[in-house]
Amino acid sequence: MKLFDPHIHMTSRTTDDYQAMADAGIAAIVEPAFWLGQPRTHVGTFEDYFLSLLGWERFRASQFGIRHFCTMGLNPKEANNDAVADGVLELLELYVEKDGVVAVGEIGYDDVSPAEEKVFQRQIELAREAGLPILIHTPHRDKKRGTERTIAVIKEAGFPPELTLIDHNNEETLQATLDSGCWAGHSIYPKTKMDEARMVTLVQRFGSERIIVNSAADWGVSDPLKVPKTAQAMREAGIAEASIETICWKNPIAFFAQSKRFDPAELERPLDVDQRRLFEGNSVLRGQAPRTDS
Amino acid sequence: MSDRATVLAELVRQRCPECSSWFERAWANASAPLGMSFRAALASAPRRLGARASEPVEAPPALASLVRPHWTLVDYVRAALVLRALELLPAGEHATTVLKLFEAGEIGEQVSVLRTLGLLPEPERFVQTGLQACRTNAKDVFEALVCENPYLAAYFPELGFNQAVMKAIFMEVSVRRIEGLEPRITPELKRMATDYTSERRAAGRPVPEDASYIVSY
Repeated sequence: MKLFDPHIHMTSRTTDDYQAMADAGIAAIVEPAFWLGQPRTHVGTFEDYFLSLLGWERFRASQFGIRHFCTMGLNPKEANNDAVADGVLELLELYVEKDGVVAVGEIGYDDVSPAEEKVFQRQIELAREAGLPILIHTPHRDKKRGTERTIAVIKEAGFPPELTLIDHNNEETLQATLDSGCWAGHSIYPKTKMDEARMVTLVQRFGSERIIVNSAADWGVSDPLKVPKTAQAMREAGIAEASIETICWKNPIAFFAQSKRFDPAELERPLDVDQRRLFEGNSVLRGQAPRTDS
Repeated sequence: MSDRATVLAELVRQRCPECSSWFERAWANASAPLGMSFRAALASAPRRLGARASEPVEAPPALASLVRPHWTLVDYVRAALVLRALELLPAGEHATTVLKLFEAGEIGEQVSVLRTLGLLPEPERFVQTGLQACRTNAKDVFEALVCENPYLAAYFPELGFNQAVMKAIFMEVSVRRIEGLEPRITPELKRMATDYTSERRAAGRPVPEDASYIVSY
């Protein structure tokens, strides 16, 4: 079964991770634009980061046979930075048009501040104009209230719930997310947020419709193999293979294909790997023999 | 208010006579606080003070209620220089300058700025720096603002204060270390802590004692 990790921050991961992901059957990923662990202080820093998602990171993934897509957006934390927010929103009008971009995200709330709300609303409009779905980050603090407010903002904006993926759900938020008609993402982590066993329980209770799982692996303690591990946990719990494939492959494809930025049929074909290729003169190899598939 | 810069400068000169030429140069460069020379001085303070850097300092009587026992001589030096810079700067530029000095600081500089935020003139103007500090993942930086520091409870607006308390719970920083916490435990903060307790229980995870403390206060 091919697997899709629709929320993973590969800029913070090594090629060991890419190799392990490829070996575990991950064929496609979405890397959302987010922050870098501490606040950026210049608009240009965002631009260079956006370019790296579209360039070096997409190339690195391809060297391991993984199709890399990304989202573009001003994340909730940095939405509070008045000095850069307008400049980044202006950049985004360009960057959402780049090849490989499948949604506006990660957007939403962190503290649920007025500044975050304004930037959230502006990016919903951006997505509407660009014909893109939206990927929503729900806060880790005051999550239930933050998710309720998130759903309210989307409703007020009249943005289609079927084009909305609300991420980082837990037991307290999933019902409301599904009731709103939005898609529901879950980030499976080793120690915090959601884990495999609890995800299995949620799937047994709510089924597989509009349910998505991801690893949200980043620079913190996280695991880029959580999607295959969650698939395995579901299997061991007796959940049907068809449901597992729906959650871990078909649902993320169906959601992001609404961007009309890729052909779902393409994803069913393996990506040929040619590790002799370079990106701006750079190789992922450090002395190894290059793998080539044809 | 200009007294504060002078009081602190006197303290620095007494405590570190051998630093005087470096300190006086930095003091002079305070007229261009976002220039490289002044910022380099702030950055290099610990090395300039050498062995004296981590010495505890007895509070100058004029500022006794505003300083804290855990501040080091490095904190005093940086505070003296920033206060001097603000004396020379138009008031309209104070908040953005301190924010920039904070954002461009490495962890030690950020700690110094946050510890001494309450010493600055009309401290309520520097809340943006405090809010930005609350976005850190570096525990030292977070503690510098939130623990044994009057600034949080005295100047943070309700939402930022509540989020800082919740973040303390997340980062396993004891809420008992938040000065002035209790008078600011509102029904809304209790609601957030209660929702968090419910979330932990639904996840089959232990409820942190700090969350229970807020809920039942």
